[in-house]
Amino acid sequence: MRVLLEYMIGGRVRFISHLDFMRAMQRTIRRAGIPIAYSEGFNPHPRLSFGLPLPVGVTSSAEYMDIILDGPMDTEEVRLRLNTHLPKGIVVTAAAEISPSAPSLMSLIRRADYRIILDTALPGLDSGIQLFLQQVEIPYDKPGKKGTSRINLRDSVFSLEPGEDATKEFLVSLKAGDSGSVKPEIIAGKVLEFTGAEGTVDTGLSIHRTGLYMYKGGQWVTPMMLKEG
Amino acid sequence: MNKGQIDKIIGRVSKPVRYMGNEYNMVEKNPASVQIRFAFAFPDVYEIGMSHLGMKILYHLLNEREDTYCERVFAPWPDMEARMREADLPLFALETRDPVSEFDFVGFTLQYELSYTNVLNMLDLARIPLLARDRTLDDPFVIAGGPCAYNCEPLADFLDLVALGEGEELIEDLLDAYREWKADGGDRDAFLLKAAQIPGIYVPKFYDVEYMDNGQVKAVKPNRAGIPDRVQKRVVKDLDRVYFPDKIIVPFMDIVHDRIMLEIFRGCTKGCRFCQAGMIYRPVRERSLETLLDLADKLIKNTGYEEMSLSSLSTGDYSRLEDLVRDLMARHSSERVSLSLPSLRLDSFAKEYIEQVQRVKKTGLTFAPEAGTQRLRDVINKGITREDLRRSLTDAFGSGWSNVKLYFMIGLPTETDEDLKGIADLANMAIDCYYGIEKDKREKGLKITVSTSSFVPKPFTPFQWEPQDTIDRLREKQHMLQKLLKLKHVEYNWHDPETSFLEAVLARGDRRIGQVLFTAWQNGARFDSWAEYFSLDRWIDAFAGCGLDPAFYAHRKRSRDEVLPWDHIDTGVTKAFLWNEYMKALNEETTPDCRLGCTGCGVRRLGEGLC
Repeated sequence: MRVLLEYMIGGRVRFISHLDFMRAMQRTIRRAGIPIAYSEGFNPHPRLSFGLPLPVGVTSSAEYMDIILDGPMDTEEVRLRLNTHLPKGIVVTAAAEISPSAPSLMSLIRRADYRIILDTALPGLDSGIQLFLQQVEIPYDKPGKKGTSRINLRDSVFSLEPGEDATKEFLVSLKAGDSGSVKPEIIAGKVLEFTGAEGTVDTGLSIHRTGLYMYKGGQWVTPMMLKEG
Repeated sequence: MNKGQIDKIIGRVSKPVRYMGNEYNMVEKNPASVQIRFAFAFPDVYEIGMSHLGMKILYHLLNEREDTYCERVFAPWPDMEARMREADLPLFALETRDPVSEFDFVGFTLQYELSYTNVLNMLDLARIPLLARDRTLDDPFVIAGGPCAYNCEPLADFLDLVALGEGEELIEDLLDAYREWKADGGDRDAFLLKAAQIPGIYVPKFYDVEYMDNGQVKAVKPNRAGIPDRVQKRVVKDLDRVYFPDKIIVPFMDIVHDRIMLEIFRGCTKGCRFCQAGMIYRPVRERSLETLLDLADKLIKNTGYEEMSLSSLSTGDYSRLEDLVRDLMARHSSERVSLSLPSLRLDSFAKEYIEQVQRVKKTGLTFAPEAGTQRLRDVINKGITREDLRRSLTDAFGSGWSNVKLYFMIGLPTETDEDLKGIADLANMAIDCYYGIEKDKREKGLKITVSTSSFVPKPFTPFQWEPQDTIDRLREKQHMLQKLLKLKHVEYNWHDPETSFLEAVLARGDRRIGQVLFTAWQNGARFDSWAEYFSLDRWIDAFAGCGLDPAFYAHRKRSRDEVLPWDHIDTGVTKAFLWNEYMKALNEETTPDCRLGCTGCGVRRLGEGLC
């Protein structure tokens, strides 16, 4: 059976890389005694796959992965067992059975939302946001495996708006899962640039992923909508 | 200090996970509820330190004590160090992030000489006075253990205490004494005097070193009453009764040895004459099969690790290895736990084990003949023949391996060009073994990796009197091997002779080397075991600045009657035995494995029934 998991990552654990996270998850599944299936072949590996890697240093309230089990186990049992054995800072918030034939999470997730919080208040933040939104073209050389490629940052942004405290916080909704996607800190950097406070704001910021979405039936929904029945 | 600042800093350095803590099985305690705070310090980066078995044992052992909270600290990588210094952030422990200067003890494990400058750097980052004599009641006691502690004279001025031998029992005695001292009140010396009464504890400041005009040590003598003339190492008698953790920290990071290490025995009976571990960890004591199977069950369950290795100096010598491997595989292969057998010596290698291990996952195979000819293997007492190696390689290739590594040392005592040619000869033999297997029965893609390290004479070994080859001479030998090993399917790797030279100086250094360490550190030396940070020039300058000649330590042949800087330390093995082994080496005479009969090394003095 195929089980979709939704989980949060918070606290110090945000500093682990995606590879670190995969290892931790595999070991957690083993400790929890969940009957994970293994791939065939010379070097079998546990069958689990992830939505969108979380950048190092970013916290999240909704990440997704799915695992294939060899035998049946109640999805709530899976969730509880994982939570008993997970390292501090990672919590599974939901588990649901999904169709074995559903496409991979990686291919479904098209949008990622972030809340970005500055360490210190910046009165010009709101105008920086407005200026960003007014642009038609914001060129950016995106690093890739074969050198950089020039993209338009403006195209990567679905929406951008001030948060509760408009001098410290803003919300951004980004394209995800295709070649036009960019890291949230790149957008944050540009916004800060547009405030004109560039250079003076080495303040540091915290980035929190608030959600990942797929586009289904003409609307943005979370991958939990893949749940059967 | 604002602890929130730490997250900001580690968010900007490479691999922040090194400084993060919070791994599964990390111990959490309320520091206010304990009497003793112990910082276990590893003077290298996280992924190296976390791979060390001794740290895992002592960390969990100390945390079993209700009165103690043991936390971990590693050497910050240079980018992190720069950020810490810039932000004025003192060295902190991973668990609570409290500054280690607030702890009662900072305990360094000394696994290799080239980590010494990191010890100084960590003390400095912690804002603990570098010199033991400058520390006050507000400072922690700085203690060191591990193999390099046996001759830690180069670090003597920086250490309050040194723990010799196995730590499990010794550390309990030490912490008990500390609590008594704390209750009684008293100055630092009062505690050190009390500690010096504990077998295995060496307090360097209670010993004076006199030198002769020629620079050799004249004598090392206690400078106050009640201090033993010699300090004898501690050994644990029964490995089935001594503590071994049934859960260990599971790092997020891909550390160097990222697996369960099941320690099957301590000590080694082989008697290889270059090998310090083989001498200082005597005698051999095994864990029983039952204890090991039980530990393996618990460790697998409590960690979720997918790989386990059997750890010892010579795994092939474990008396019930076949049963152990078979039982471990029977119990855990369905859970897809793979078993790797490191330091497997070919003399005890059996085809069956290869196949057992292969059942789950194929891991690399390494053989260590150490020297190219039988003559030189006799000199070093490495009891492996060409025929042993031929059989093992044939077995390996016949069982589906096509990738093997052969390890050798160059610069061994009495070595000639013939011995170097012998290395190439064995590489050729390996090729022949491979092609001796029928084509459809062997794996494709033969690759033989020959690696040479440079011999470093170590204290407490039969070669402690020997000069090391000069850097130039080692380079010549490497060039010769480069030519000899230009063979199809063979890759040759060699070790940088400059770091081996420094290792030789520090390994047999005396207390005067402390100044050199200090100077080199001040001039920027740290992470000397990392090629990108090592600079021989910096060390040469430091020696010159201190008026010392490194060749005196590395390239000088010592005489039988010379007082060695470490003679006041007793590992159990006598100097007379070592000298006798040295003479036999020069005569190309071997000494049999002491399981076949006692060879009189002296370690029996350490306790009845030990071996």
